[in-house]
Amino acid sequence: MTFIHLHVASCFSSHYGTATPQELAAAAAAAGAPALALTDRNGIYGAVQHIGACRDHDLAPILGADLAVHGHGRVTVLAHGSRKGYAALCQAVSAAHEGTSASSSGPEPALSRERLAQLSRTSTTEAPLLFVLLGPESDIGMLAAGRRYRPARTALRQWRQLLGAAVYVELVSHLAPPGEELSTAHAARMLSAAAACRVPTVLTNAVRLCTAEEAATADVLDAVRVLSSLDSAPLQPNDQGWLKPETEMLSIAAEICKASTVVVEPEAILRTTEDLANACQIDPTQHMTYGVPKIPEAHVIGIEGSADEELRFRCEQGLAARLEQPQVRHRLEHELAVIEDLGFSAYFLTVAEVTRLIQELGVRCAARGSGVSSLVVHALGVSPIDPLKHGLIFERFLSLNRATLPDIDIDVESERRHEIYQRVFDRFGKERVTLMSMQNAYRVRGAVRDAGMALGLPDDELDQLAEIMWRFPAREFRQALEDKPELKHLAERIETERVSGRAQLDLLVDLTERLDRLPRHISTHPCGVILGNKDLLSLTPVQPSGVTGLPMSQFGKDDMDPAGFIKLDILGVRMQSAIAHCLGEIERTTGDRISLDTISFEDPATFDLIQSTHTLGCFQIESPGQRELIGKLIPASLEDLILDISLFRPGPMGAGMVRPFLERRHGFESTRYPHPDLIEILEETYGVIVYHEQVLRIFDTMTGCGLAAADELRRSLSREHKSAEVESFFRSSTAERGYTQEVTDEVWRQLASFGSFGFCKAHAAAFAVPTYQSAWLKTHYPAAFMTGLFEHDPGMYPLRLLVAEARRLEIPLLPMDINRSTGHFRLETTQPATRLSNGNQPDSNWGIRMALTTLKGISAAEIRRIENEQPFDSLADLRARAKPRLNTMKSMAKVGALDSFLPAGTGRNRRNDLFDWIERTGPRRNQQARIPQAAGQLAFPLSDTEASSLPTGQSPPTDTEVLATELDLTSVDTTDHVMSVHREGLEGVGVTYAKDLLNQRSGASVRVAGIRVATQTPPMASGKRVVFISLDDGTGVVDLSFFDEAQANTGEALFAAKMLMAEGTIRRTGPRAVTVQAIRAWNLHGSPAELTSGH
Amino acid sequence: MTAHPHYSSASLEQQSDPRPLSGVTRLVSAEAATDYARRNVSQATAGASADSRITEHVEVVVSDQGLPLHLWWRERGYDVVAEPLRWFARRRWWTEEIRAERGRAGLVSQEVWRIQVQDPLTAERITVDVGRSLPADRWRLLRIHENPQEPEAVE
Repeated sequence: MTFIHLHVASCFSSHYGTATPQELAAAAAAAGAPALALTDRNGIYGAVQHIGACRDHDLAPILGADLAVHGHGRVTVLAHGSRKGYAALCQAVSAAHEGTSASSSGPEPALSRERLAQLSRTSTTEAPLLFVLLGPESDIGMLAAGRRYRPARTALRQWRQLLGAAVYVELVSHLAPPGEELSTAHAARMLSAAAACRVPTVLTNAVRLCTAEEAATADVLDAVRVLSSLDSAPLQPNDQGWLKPETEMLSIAAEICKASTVVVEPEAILRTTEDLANACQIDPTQHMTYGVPKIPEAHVIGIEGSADEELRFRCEQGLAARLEQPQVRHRLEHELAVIEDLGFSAYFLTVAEVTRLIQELGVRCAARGSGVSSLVVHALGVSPIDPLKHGLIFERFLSLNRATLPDIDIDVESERRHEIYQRVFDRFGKERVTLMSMQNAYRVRGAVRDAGMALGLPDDELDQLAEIMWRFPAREFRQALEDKPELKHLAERIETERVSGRAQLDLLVDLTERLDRLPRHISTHPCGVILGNKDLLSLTPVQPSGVTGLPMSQFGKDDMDPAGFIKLDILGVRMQSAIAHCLGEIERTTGDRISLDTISFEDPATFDLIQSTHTLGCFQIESPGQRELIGKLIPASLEDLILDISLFRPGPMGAGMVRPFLERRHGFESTRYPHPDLIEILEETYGVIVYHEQVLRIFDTMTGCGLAAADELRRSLSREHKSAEVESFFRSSTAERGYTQEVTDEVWRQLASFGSFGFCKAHAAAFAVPTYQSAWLKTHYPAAFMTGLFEHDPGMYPLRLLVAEARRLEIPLLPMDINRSTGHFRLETTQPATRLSNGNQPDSNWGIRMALTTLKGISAAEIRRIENEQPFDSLADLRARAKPRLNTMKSMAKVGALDSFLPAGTGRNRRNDLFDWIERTGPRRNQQARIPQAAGQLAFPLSDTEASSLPTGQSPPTDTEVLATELDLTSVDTTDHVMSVHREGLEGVGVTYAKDLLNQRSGASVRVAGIRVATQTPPMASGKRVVFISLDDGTGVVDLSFFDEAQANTGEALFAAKMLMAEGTIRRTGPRAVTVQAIRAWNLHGSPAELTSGH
Repeated sequence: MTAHPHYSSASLEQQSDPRPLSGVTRLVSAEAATDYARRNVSQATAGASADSRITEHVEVVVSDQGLPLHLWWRERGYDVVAEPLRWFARRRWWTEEIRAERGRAGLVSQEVWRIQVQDPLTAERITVDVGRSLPADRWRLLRIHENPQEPEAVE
């Protein structure tokens, strides 16, 4: 007799289960079970992981789901062990999610009993496709809990009538106190009902924990699920819902039988359980096509004959004359042979078709990722990068050795991403396409908030706590209390409270650690689209996504490869939208159409801008760390940008690759190569290994292993248990090929330290193109470019810093105006446009008009009405035609958007009078405005008598008040920089401004102050945490670094303060690179009087 | 005091969190939550500690199968004379405990045995509940029943 668990929830039962499928499988195997089911609530989110875990532990997998049935409680649905059984399970789960919404406000997933019966039924007399276990949470379970014996039996008979042999009664005892739900008596009542209705019974433990010790975590999840504290939440009766071993389950069966008046042997129940488990065993390959790639059928993309031939034909067309070069022809033949051999021709044609659809829509797109390494991808027009020109290696992307499926990423305008998804669904058919999902797991801030809610801590206290937490793993909270200076105060508080007998904060720390990394909610993956064949929806359940009308798979990124799903990453990139808006504004205002595909990649003015490090807003090179790196590296070509992007990665930065590289580049250290054979490979990077491609070539050159095997070796380098194997292979092969011990030692040392961290050059090359394009636009069309940035805010900084950057560039910032502003940021001439004859400064006349969208509280409908009815000649006209709400009118008056209605010359001086007037007369005037006008009646063409005869009385707003209003109502300081308010006070305490830092000598002591615009803690070679904080002081950005001592001196303000003053010393790291190494910083909040205090 | 521009936190956060203000991801509708709470709350939190609780330390001798055989209470020995009944009762650990770290045993529930014992001298039979506390594995007398109930007869 072996017991098999048939009802098991993992942590993918969000806010319910506590253990991962891997932990559950390991525990089941350790207890000697031959098989294990996974039946998560509302889905099979963990199915692919379960299959993998069962394979690792030699268990037979069983799949099912815990689903709600309309009006009949929750039941466990198990798939029959067959292709049709698994398909029926997918369909049942999808059916339960029909009509739900991705936002959490919609109805709970549930399906009708009729639908469930229909999916379970087969046409023949074979076994049902789905088995339905009626447990404690089913209708009969709840009736039994209430001791309503007769209704329970009636209900059970109904189930049996509808589902026949598919129905089982599920006995569960969590050994709850006598008579309560989930007590042995509860199970015994269900056993009696089953016997009376002749329905077979199985035993499960309705598992939601791997071990009993996890029960406290489940309590917290129960509370969070209903947004409540532990005191008032409905909690599990005890900690007995764990994955119990066979002996414990046998004794539970015996207890239930003994408590029942029905004569039944526990062995009989266990035998039924085992038989059912056997009927439900899933063969992953046979039943789920696990690991078998699924690609749209060739006919869908209009191919009659062989996909291989079609792919060859299109590539030859795309490369045309270049095929006469032998190396091009040779590369193409090589790639086509591999693709053909793997059977992926149709996949490449599919990607080409998707690219065509995107281009047809006129959306900017750019390929990214290792796919850029492929000449086929280039020939099909998917990527503009020529892999041969940049030395990119196909094997880094695809080879006969590579176990993973090909992965091609396409960046598109974020604004139009959904439009593209819709088009892809339409083109390939909704049965073949679904979006991918992703599980969002608990991280420290969310875990603190939810653990705190369970403990009943007040919201604002939790907000304050969450604010000082900075990116450490939640499960290391207690350790962090000891290590992190910003948590020192908290640690002291916990200590004090502990002494006085209060344990809430201690418990908070423990519970936060418990929640770490548990899945929290599911959302649509930002870019993944799964493309399959006509059977896709029988292989993955789907549920509504956040994208209107489109479904998403319950599987995520890591499930794709093992399960054999092919995904295409169509990533919305806001920079592409910003560029599109920039180009659109140039065309709208000047009629010029600029094609970025034809600009020179050797424009000196563009590289001047990049070298100046004034790269805020430029793709990939705007972060504080990147600006510093650029200042040191001084890029002068596209290849340099590729290098820069590759170096600025966690791996290379953390491995300390950057310094040796820079020393050699600037000639402080001579470049030397371990062996002449490697000169050609390492020349481009001064003998330092930077790219994956270089690692591949070194392996190939020195061992003769071939590039495909070289990529395997490269990937094994980063896996600790495999790198010794790689090393012994490398050493024996190089010795055979005559390399000396010294050469081998030196190369291996470099490979081992850098090789596993290097960056794929293909990725960097794909990034470098939009990087250069954005810098080119910022150089030649600064106002238009900044307009694009304002519109889509694509980078890491808040909009108000971009506004400050525009001010630094002396681009006029035109305030919000009811007659000129629209729902978008727009380029506008500030004086009659006189194009300069030399065309050098076409931007000098252009300003940026602020958009209505930044106004707090304005609705999309109001903006639409204003846009449709513009211009307005009076307040009355505005009220009558655009019908803004009173609050919107007031906000517009307050920020000055209605200044143009005021008599000429008065403008801002009468702003308060206007606001006052609107506030006092508002409701009355609004009523008048509702009197319907006759269709076609013209608006009153008179000047605004109402505004010109305003009662006076209010004083005009001061500069400070204007700024405060702007920040309050638009979050952006448009008329002047917010720090201007503090200027006098700051000068009094000797503050140095960003624009003057470059003139300071290295080592000088300075005081700086400003508004925090960025905080970063990148990995460092030393392994110690360094905190980088950037302050905007109105003249530019000050970049500060905080080492251990400075972090300790700064304390809680390190991550919490919004305005900071700091003291430190100047560090010059290159001709244009200057940072301030902080000694201490303190919160700069409120009035200038506070500026000098704080020590 | 002059007025100074203040920042709304939203303008300064690099990546604002899209969650609702309550700070919690709503997994069920508010109505469903209330409904569920109403249905389950009374039993779930009541536990076994509702009666007046004695928490006197006792010694329990158990069989190889873990069944109680003898009880030592106030220096007197009693034999267990009827089939014992066992369950696991919930604890309000968040008010009773000061730590709840991962792996701590016995936090959420306590194993309770209802046993009938006989005084070997007087032959008097009494029904008591004894609780077993983890991780120390100590026994406590929880209750003495005046009128013990018969176990539930299932129809």
